[in-house]
Amino acid sequence: MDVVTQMQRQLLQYTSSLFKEGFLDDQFNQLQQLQDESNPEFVVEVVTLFFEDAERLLNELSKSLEQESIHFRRVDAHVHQLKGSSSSIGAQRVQRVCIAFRNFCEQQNVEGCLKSLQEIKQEYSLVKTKLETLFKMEKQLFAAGGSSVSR
Amino acid sequence: MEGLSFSYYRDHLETFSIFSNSSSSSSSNNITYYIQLIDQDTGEAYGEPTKYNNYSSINQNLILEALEFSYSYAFNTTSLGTNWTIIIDDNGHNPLFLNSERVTRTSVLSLGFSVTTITDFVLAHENNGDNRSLISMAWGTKDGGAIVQGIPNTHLVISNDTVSLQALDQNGNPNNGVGGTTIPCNNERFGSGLNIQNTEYLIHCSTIDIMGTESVYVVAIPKNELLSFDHHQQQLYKKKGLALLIVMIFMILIALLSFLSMNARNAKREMRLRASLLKQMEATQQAERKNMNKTHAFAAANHDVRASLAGLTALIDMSFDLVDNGSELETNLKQMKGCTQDLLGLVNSILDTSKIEAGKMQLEEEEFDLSILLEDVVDLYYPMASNKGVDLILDPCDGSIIRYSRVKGDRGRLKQVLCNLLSNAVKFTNEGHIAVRARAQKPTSLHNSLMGSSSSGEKHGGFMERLSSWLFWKKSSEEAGGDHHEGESMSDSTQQTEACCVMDFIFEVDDTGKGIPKENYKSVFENYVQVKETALGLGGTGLGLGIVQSLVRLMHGDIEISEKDLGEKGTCFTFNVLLNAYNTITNPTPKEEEEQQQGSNEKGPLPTLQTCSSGSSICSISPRFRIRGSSPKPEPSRVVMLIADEYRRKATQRFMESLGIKVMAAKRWQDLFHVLKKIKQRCLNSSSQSSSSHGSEYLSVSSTLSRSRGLPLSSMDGNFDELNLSDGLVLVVVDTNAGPVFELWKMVSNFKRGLCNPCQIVWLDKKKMLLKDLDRNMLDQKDIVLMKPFHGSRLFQVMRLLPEFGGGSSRSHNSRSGKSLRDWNSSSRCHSYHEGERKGENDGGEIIQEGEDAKPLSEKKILVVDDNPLMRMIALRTLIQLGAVIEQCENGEAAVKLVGDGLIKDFPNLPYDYILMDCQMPEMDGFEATREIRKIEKRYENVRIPIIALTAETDKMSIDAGMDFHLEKPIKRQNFLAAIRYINAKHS
Repeated sequence: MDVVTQMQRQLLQYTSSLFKEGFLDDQFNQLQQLQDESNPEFVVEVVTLFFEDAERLLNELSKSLEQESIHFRRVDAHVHQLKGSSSSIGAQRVQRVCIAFRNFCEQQNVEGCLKSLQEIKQEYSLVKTKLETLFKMEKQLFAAGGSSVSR
Repeated sequence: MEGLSFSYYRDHLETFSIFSNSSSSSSSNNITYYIQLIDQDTGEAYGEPTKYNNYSSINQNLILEALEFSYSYAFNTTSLGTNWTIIIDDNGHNPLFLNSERVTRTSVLSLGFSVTTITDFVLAHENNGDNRSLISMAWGTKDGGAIVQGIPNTHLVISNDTVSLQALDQNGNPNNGVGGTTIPCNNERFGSGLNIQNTEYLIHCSTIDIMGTESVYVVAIPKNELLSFDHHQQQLYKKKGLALLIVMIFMILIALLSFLSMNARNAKREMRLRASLLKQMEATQQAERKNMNKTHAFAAANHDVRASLAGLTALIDMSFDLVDNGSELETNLKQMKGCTQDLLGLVNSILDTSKIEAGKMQLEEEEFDLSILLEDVVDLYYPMASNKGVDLILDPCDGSIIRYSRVKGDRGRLKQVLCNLLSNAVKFTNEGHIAVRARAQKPTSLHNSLMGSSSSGEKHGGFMERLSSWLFWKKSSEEAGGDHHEGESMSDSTQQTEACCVMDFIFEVDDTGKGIPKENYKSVFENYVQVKETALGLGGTGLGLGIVQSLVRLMHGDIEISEKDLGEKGTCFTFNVLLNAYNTITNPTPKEEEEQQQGSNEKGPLPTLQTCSSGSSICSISPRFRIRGSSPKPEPSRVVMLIADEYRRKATQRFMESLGIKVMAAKRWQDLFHVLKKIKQRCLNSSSQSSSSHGSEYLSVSSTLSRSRGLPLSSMDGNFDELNLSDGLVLVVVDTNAGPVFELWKMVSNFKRGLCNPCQIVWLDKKKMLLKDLDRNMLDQKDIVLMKPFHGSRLFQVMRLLPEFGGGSSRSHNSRSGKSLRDWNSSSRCHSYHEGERKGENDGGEIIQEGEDAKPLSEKKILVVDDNPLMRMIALRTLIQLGAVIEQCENGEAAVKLVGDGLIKDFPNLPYDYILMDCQMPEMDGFEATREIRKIEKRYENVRIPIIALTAETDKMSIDAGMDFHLEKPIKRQNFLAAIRYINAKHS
């Protein structure tokens, strides 16, 4: 049980660091609360959905911004969607960059948009790795026989 | 030529007289003259007469001639009259005017003047004495007798009235044809010209009367001399004029110059002023920019603080899962969570400051229970205060706050204001008490004027908002009224508006702390201002009161520091806010009277106070209601109080007495004994003696009773006569802080023993001394132990034990209510709140339950419309956990179709209970879908499916589209439940 406790502590620390560094916000807690026995993989499922969604949107965005004449309204719609998705899993740093992105869109500032896109990509990959690590740790913990922290 | 002669003459300044005696010698040549000086004043001769030999010098000839003439004249004519002649001596010098008169036959008197003297005189007359040397003059008598040829080289002939002047050449011969003129002597101003020896002369002739002799004089003035003289004069005048002109020009120049220089100076000054204005404006702009930047930075920093706070909250949440239920750690965690939430609120409030500064602050209107809010706030600070040894009291005042407890307004902001004031009060008070007083009243013009002091924009918006909300609530209350009292007449509508109206709530936070210097009363409300001397070492940003003031003004009120009486310590903050209030008791009209009991119960305005399901509620404070309520149960109860803190004791006593309860308050614990003894005696007496005597005794006990409102003494007495005293409850409230616990316990148990009346003991045991000092078994099972402060709902609960307020008169009833109170008391504050909420919902006729395992939305069908699978999934999970049955679709079009089909299929039953609608979707967005759905609904009767909008932005567009509520993304369980509650409340 010692190993399990340690792992639990590690997981806890890791999670708290995610919160502390602002990768995640309260919404992620909400997600975890939504997970129960009837739906044990809920968080992972949702986050995976988010990954898919985000990657699709990011591709679209890159494509849109590469074009000669940029269709800002479409870009804005994409960013808006991404903002919604990120906010619903609590990836607040992504969400914050999205807000800035949308401002640039409004100003039709191509440079700013490109910069924001880079930032979003960076933040996204960061949060993705962090979350994946988190899930891995949880899985390990589960495998070791400990109960999930989120419950 | 014989005889004496005597004459005066003047030579220079002296007057001489010459006399001779010619008779002494026959020859005139031998006449001896004597000269003697004459005194000028008296005319008498003085001094020795000297023989004057040099008679040639005195012009003997002249004298002789004169004498001769006069002689001959005098003697020949022998007539009186003026006989003047001009005598010229041999040399032609010194001509004389001479007049002789015969006095006697032998005596003649002669008078002579020198011509030059007269000439001088005349010239002085003519010419003001200027240039006399140039002017020559000729004289003659008019008849042409005597002529003095005064003008050189001319010959003058005077005939009758004209004078002819003949110029002579150098040899003295008349220059015929060349010069000559004849001038009439008629005093003409200008004479004629004459050329005399190549010199042009201007000749002027005038007549003059010299002592009766008509004389003529001719004046000749060289023309060129005159001209040159005139010219000279002219030149002089010209010079003078020129000088004058120059002076004038000079002065004009000076004036002009000074004017110009003044102008220039003014212009310069203006330039300078403008320059400084520009500089100032720049500085101001810079300052404003800086301020803006600061605000932004501030907001950003706060945002980060908020983020870390969120982390903290999450951590605490996680920790909850790790600790055992019921352990101390868990309660600590709970408190920590509360703290973080408070902190979050605080950070939000600081963020709000910038919002307020920008004028973007908005109030969130919601319905809430003011009395619960007050109690919450007070209870929140109670531990903090009591740790410092300060009692924190919620003074119910006249109970108006309970009457109007159901209000609509910004709960959070009001709480913020109260919390801020209370935390200040606790912070600065080290001894004594802090009292929170609250009362409601109709808005007065005074407060309207206070409202006017807030910024006009806010005021305008606020007013419109208030108006609209007021209208809205009026409407809804009428609807509600219609549901409850069908068939009520129109006249009730006025009462309904009476029941829901804008009320002015006045709050006072009164402490006995250090106080604020009077001169700082105004400045403490400015941001960043702290009173230096008092705030020393206590920390704080000094932002609090500034926010408080802004918030209070936003709520159409104002805040100020009331002045305390002299000698009283501390500060008293008074503020008022305007809120929409529902009178929880409609004034009963005779018609409505029988409905009243039922109605008031049904409406259930005060959930926590409704736990005792008896006829009347504690909030029935209006006098009429009270009398009616108490008349069927006439036995008066008595309350005995022993409370350590003076203010709490007085406030509680006052409140109870205002409700007509007889209260006996003991100041010290020793007094309690006497009071109890008295009561006991009276009770024992009452069973045997006539009741009338007790009535009077009662009055003496509690003199304040007579003051209790709306309760005439006579009726009280009347009640008293009939009642069965043995039924009256004796409620003993004992504060364990007031004295040694064991002594108190002994006293009370002695009192209980052998008392025929029902008796209820309430221990106020905030420091848990009772349990420490006494064995649990020693306490009566029926006794109530209150560990929380004795005010607010706990006070009402205790009071409800009294039969007048719903407590059963029988012992069994008592114990039951007591027990419920104890249960209720032991549970946490949070729990009690939930309980209250659940009660409220039950009263509203809803079956929604809230709790850990409960599924408040069980069996509810909800349609989730969202294009984003992620969102859908989350919403799905959230709602399924709440027990709902979910159907989902991807866009608005599908949603409209689903609703339409569902309605067609089985109309009376609605296809969905709620629709959760995303706003931004491809194909058909949420707004349009909502509009479509509303259109479809119109085909059926009385169908309106509540649609909850899910938006990323907090825009209010959703309401326009026909949505019932809007939630911010991402969906949260509590928010969704709140939305459901709101919708239910609106529809019920």
